[in-house]
Amino acid sequence: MRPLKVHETNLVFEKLKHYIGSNVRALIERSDGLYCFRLNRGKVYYVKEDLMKLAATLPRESIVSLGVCFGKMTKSGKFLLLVTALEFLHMYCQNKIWLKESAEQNFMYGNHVYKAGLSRISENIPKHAGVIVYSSKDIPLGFGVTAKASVDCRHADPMDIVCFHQADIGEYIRNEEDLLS
Amino acid sequence: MGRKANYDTKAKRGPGKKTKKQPTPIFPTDGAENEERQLSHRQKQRAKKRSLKQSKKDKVTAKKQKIDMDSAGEEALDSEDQGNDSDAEEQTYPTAGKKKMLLPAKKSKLKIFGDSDDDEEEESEQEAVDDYGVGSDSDDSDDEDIVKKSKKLEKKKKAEIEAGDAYMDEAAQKLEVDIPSLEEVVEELKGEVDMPSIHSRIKDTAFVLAEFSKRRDPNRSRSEYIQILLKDLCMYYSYNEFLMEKMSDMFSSGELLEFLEASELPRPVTIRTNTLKTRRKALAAALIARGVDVDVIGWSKVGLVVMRTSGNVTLGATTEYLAGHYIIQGASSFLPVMALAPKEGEKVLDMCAAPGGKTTHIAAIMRNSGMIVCNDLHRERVKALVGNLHRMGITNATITCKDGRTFPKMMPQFFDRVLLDAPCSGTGVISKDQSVKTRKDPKDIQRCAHLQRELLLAAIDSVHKYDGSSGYIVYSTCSVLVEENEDVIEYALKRRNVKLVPTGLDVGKPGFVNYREKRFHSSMNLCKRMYPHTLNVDGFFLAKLKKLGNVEQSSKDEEEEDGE
Amino acid sequence: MNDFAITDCWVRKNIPQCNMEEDTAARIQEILDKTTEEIKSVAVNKEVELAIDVGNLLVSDENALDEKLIRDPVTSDEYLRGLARDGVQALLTKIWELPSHQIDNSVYVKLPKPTTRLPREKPLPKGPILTKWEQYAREKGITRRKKEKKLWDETLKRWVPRYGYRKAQADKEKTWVLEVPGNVNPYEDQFEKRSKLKKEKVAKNEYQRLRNIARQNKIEVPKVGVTGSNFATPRELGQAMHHAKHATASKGKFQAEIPGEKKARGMGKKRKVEFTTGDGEQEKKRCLDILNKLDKPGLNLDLAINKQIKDENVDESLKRIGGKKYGRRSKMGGRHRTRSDYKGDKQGKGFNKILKGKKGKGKTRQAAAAGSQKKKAGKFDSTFKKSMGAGSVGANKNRGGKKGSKG
Repeated sequence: MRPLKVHETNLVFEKLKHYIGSNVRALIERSDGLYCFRLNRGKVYYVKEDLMKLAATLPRESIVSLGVCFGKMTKSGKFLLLVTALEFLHMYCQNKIWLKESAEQNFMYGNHVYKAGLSRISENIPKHAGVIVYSSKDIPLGFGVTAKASVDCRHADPMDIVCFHQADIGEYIRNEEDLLS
Repeated sequence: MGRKANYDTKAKRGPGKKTKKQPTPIFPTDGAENEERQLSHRQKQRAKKRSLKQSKKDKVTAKKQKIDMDSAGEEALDSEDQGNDSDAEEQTYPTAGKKKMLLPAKKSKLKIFGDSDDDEEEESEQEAVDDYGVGSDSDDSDDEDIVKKSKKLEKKKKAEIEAGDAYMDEAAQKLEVDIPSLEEVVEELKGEVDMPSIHSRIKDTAFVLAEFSKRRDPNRSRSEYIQILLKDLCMYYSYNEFLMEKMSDMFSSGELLEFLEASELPRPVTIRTNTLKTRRKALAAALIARGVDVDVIGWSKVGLVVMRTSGNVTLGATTEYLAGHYIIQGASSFLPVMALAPKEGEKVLDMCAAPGGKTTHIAAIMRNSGMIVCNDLHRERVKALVGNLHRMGITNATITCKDGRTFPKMMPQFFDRVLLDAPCSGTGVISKDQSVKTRKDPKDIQRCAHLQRELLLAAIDSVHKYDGSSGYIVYSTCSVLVEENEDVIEYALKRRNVKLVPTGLDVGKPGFVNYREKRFHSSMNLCKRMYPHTLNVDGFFLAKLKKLGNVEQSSKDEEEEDGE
Repeated sequence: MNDFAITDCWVRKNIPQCNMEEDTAARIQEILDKTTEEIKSVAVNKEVELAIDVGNLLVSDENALDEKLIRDPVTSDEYLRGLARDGVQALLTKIWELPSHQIDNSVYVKLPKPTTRLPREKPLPKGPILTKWEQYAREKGITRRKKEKKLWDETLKRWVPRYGYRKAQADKEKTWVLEVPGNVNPYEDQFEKRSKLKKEKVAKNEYQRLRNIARQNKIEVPKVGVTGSNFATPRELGQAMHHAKHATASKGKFQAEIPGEKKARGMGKKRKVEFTTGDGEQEKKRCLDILNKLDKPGLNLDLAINKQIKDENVDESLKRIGGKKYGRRSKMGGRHRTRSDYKGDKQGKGFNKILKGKKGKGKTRQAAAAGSQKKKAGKFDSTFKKSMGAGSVGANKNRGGKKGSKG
């Protein structure tokens, strides 16, 4: 377990900015205590400082996880945001997409979102912006990247991809090894 | 604006169910309440009538009780009790729609406190207030009639049963139940077996043993009958003899049959709502919309029992499940966490946490404050733990994968509470894993017990001593054997400066203080035992210990014993 | 006046020659007046005796200063001069008292040895630089022990010297046979092996001795590449190679990178590693700093590209028309165009009305540029002419509103 180096912090913040924009500050400046990022076995964890200090006293090999795992640093040096970060992302993210009930299952299997499955989309989303995907009942299903700006979505063909799939909650059963090992 | 999470605890204001706080307990002084109440005219009239009737009845009931005591034997009473119990308990489960729970004379319902204060645990048991609000004083006057009626009904039933028994006795004497001798039975079992005939023989033997003095064959001993019964049971339910003997030591023959029957069948599927993300009502509505029939569990605020799922819906793959709104968990697993009663901001250790149902429950109660360390020895199971914690949105936990016995070395007297759900032989969850019936032998049990002792001592050493609000250890196993339960607690009581405290739960049978030749500490009855045939939950044992001091007590105890 | 030139410990006294000229009387009178004024008594009387160290030519006046005179700026200067004069006088009287010699018209006085001890001119010399072993021994508290020259040897049953004459002989006697261990190549010569090892040990010892000497005398020796392959780790060898490759270019050319060759590791500077459980506040600050940097509006690539394209288009079209391209200077040569000017342009009034007529509605930018440049005709700087060159010529030509595009 170690703190992130400067270039790693940069990567993480840039990725987060993609989704939650200026609210990244809110992740660091929290009223209920000091939170910090830690790297353990290639995974980036977001954890409260006192819990982190407790975990630092435990043997290094035995620590499997701390707090919330935001994502992992890939071998090629990029930061990959995992679905386990959804908890925090959906609280702060302003770009949202709502899916119809029929399209929920499809998205949770890892497919992209087509215009036919799109029920609502928040205003003023530019192209290639990070979005949180919600079900019709306002349950966060995952996150993705818009393929079209929200303006263009209106005129899109029903079979056009509107949002690229990045991560979804179905991965908890579909993809356990990658997510949790 | 993004939706920001608010971690502050708000005091609820305004009218509504949730805003009603549980009032302070009112201990009725003898008779004073009744005198204070001002009765209306109608009420006074009724009261008069009542008193008249009561006097008449008293005479009648006195006579009847005499008769009751004479006719029925001890065992019959037991079976009746159990019969009544099972009747009452079954009501809690499969009924859709809220039936008002009729208060029978004995309080045999499952009652659990929501947030029990630890201070009050020391005192005598509180009055239970469950969701239906039955038992409040204001309803007394209306309910009295109903209570009387139910009492009437019960007495009728009893009379019928006794009549039936009497009839049976006569019938038995006429019929002469024919049970072959032990040698014949053994011979028969070696060869080809006919299950129905064995089953009927089992019933016959049990019948005889129920009222042994009356129904026995005078030439044959009780032990012979018992031997026959056990052998038949082993064959019928495919147990090994060792385990069957253990069970028969614990239960009477009638109860044994029930236990074995119950262990064959699966328990109802239960789920627990994740209060960090949703409310029980909302979740129930959502699941019903998906095609899963659920009903609330009376004694818990977060439990739902699944009665039926439509064919295409897998409970473990619904959107709500994946979003972390609920987790599939046995009902008995709610109880250790409710007994532990963690408070916000505390440091809790869960020593054998995988797959994480209890840990997530603890975190939900603590509302993601404080610190939880959840640990499990096996890497593969720890993965499930990680998955569950992330899915349910727990942020205050750190997961480790090491032997629980090493915790006191690393962090002695650090934690406020420890939950130890010890690995056990699994004799309470035979319905989940049928192989337990044949696989267990004395060595296994001993190994388990040894490990459990070490873990419990480690757990005790990891907690700081009681400081007015925390310093508790909860020990639970999913086993019914005394070697893994009371024995282990006794060991801990001798070796460490701890004492047993009431668990705060109103369900289950008390632990054994004396069991066959063993004599345990007198407070052992504060532990709780649960059986599948009585409560329709997995077999369970639960004990709550309070740490009084850090110094080991072993030498002192031994000296005292020697001195005596 | 007496002049004194001070060289070494000898003091030369010069007696100047008086010049006898016509108005010497006045001059002599002057001199006499001067001397009578200035020369006070040779004797210097002080309350506390002046400490005079003739060897160093040092006079120490330990008398208390007169406060009044010192404080008052008018008199202090005089007073101090007087003190100095007294001191010097006392010194000089002492010098004169010393035995003097005369060599070549100069009088020399040998000064006695100095009595005051002066402070050090140079810093204290540092102690000897300890060798690595000496440092270690000091740390551990290992002391030197005298060893016996002769040792009793069991196998030979006699006293064998530890070093020197007859030691090697005894060794040979002992190792007349050597056991071959099991896991070793059977064709290897064990004796050979032994002697090689010994040579290596000796060489290593020599290397270390030389290294110690180098350290002592502060001679810089490179860390890698000096020794043979026996002492260096693979990493060090890699570093040595790296240095060798990049040190000097042969004939101005560096050695080309060989494709399969691995790069030397451990070349960079060691960076400071942050502690896991360091100061939480510090870490928060660092994160926020990084965030602030990220939040700065970076390069908006699209806008920049568009702007560039626009500029290029403008240039091109101006070239075609022959308009002038001005840099950052104001198009009006200093005069700002007001709103009414622009309005006027649109309506066909102002300077551009002719253009409007010719080119019809919807003036093109180029035309506007051309039109505005017409105005500058009268306000040309020489600098403008220089910078624009051909363009300016073109503009002049366009004055008539011709469509001709030259330039």
